[in-house]
Amino acid sequence: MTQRVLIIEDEPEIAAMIQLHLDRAGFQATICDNGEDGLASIAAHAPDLVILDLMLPGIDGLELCRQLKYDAATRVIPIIMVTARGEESDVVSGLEMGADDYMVKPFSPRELSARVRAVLRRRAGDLPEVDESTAVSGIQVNTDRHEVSVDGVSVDLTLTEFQILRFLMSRPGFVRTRDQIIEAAHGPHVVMSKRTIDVHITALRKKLGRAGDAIETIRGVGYRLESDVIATEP
Amino acid sequence: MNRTAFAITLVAAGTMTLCAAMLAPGGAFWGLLTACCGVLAVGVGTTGLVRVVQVGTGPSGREERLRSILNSISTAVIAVRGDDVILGLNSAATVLLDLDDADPVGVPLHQAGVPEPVLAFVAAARRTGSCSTAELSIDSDDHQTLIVRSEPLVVDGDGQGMVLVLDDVTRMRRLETMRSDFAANVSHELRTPITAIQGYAELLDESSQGTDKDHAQVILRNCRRLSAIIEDLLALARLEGESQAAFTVEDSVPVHDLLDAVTRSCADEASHASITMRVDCNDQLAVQGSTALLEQAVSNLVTNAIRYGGSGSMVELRATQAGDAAEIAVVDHGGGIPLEHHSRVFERFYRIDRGRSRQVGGTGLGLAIVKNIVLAHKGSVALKETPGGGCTFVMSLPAV
Repeated sequence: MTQRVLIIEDEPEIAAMIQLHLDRAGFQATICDNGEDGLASIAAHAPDLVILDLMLPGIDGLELCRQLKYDAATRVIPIIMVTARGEESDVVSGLEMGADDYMVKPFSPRELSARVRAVLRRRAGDLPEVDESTAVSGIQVNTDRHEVSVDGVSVDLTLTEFQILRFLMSRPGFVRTRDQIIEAAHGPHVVMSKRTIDVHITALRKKLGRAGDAIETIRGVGYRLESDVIATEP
Repeated sequence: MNRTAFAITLVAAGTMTLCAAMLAPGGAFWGLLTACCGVLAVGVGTTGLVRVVQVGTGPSGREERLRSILNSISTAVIAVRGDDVILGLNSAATVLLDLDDADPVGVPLHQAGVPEPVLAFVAAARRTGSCSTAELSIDSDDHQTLIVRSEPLVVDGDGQGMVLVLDDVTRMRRLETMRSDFAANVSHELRTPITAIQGYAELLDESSQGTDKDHAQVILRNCRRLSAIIEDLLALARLEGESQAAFTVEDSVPVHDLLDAVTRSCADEASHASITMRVDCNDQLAVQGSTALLEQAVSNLVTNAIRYGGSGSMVELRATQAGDAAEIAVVDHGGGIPLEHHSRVFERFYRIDRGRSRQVGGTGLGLAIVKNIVLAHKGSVALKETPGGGCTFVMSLPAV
C-alpha cells in the first residue's frame, strides 16, 4: 500500500519540489499551504506522516504540532519539522512536543526522502526495545545485565551513562534533546543542569573509545547516535 | 558679552545639580552655575543628542537662565516634594510624559497624568530612600520605553523630595530588537530560495545524463558553497551584533575536552587528506566562555590546517598555560603563508591565492569568525610561522 505524506508548507515551489521527490521515492504526497487546511485535511483523512514547515501564516507550525500531539486521534502520526529560521529553540520545543525529526533549510530533498523512510520504518517496527541483537557502530547493549560492549570488548559504565546510551540507541540517527536525555536517565520532573548531561556524554564517549565518535553533538539542540539507517540513499 | 565656549556633558548627576540649584536659588551650587553661563554646549550622553544653546548673561535673572538650560536638554527632569507634589519640571518632561497642558507645578504626580509605571517607581524609590534606576515600559499607543533615575532632594527642610530624570530609549531599544531580528530574518529569506534551487537541481541531477548532469552538479556544488557562506556570514553578524550577551558563558570549559571534541569532528576530513592529528594538552587547563563558540573557533583553525597542511603531514594541537592565559596553538607543516599577508589573513574574504582557495574550498570567513569569537572571549589570536615551514595559529584566552 502506498504510504501517504502530507506536506504543510506555504512556499509553493518548495512544497512542489518536496512532493516531486517523495513521489519519485514511491510515496503519495499531498500539499496544504497553511495550518488550518492542514488540520482539516488530517482530520478528514489521516496521513502516514506529516512534513511540517514551522513558519506558516495563520496557525504556526509549532502550534499545529502541539495540537496534533495533544489529540489522541492524531498523536501517532509522525511529524518531520522543516525550518528556515535556524532557531534551535523552535526545534527543541518541537522535538519535546513529540515531533520525530527535523530538517533545516536548505536541505537535500534526497535526505528528506531518506528520513521519511526511516521514520516510517521505525513507526512500523513500533520502537523495538534495545537488546543484545541491537548493535550500532559496534556498540552492543545487554539491558538485563546492564552490560555494554564495543567490538566484543566489555565496557564499564555508570548507571547514568548506561541509561543515556540505551536511550540514544533506542532511536539511532534521531536527535534527542538534553531534557529528553535527562528524563530518560533520571525520570520525569528531575531538575538538572543541561551542562551535567554534557559532562556525562563526554565521559561516555571516552569510555566507548573509537565507537564514542558515533555520539554526535547537534549544536544547540542535543545529541544523536550516528547510524547508517538514515544515510542518504542515492 | 561673550565668554569662551565650553561644553558640559550633562549626565544624571549634572542634571540633578542644575535642578536642585533652580529649586533652591540660595544653594551652594548657584555661584558655580552662574559662572558657567556663557555659551553652553549641552550634550546629553544617554541619548546622544546635542544641542547648542545661547543663554543670556544679562540681568534677566539667574532662575530664568537655569530654566532655559533645563528646558533645552532633551532629558526629562521632574522635581517632586515628599507628598508627590510637582515642584518643577522642564519642557522635555511635559512632552515625554504627555502631561496635561495646564501647568502641572503644584499638582500631585498622579493628578498630572504621569503614567502608572512611573508612579510605582516613585513609590518604590521612596521606600528604599536612595538613588535608584529602572527601565519602564509605558503601555501607551506608541509603547514607550523609559529609563528613569531618582535621587533624593532636600527642599525647605523636607527630606522626602526627589528628582526624577527620564530618558526615552524607545528608539534605541527598537533598533536593538531590529538588529537581533535581522540575522533570523536574513537567514529565512536566503535559505528559502536556496532550498528551492538545491531541490530542483537534485531533480535535474537525477533525471539527466552527460553534460546536463555535469551542469546540475555544478549548480549543486555552488548551492552548498553559497549556503556555507550564508551560515558563516550569519555567525559573524550574531557575533558582532551583541558580542557578550549573545552567548551563554560557562564558568569553566576544560580545554582538553574542547580539543577532544574538535579532533572528533574533524577526523573524517583529516583521514581523507591522510593527515594525522596530535593533541598535546595540559589536563588542568580551563577557560571561561561558550563551549560551542570555542569549538567552532578551534575547529575552523584545524580545518584550515588540514586543508593547507599537505597530504600525509601532521596537524598538532597544543595547549599550554602562559601566565594568566591559556594558549591553544594549531600547527600545520604545509607551505605556510608569506609574511606580507600575515596582518590581513583575519579580514573577511581576504584571499592569498584565489585559485588555490577555490580548489580547497572554504568560505573566506573562517578566520574572521575565529577572530571575532576570540575577541568576544577577551582573548587574542595571532599567526606565526612554524619552524621548518607551515602556519601556527595561537589563540590566547584568559585561563580560569
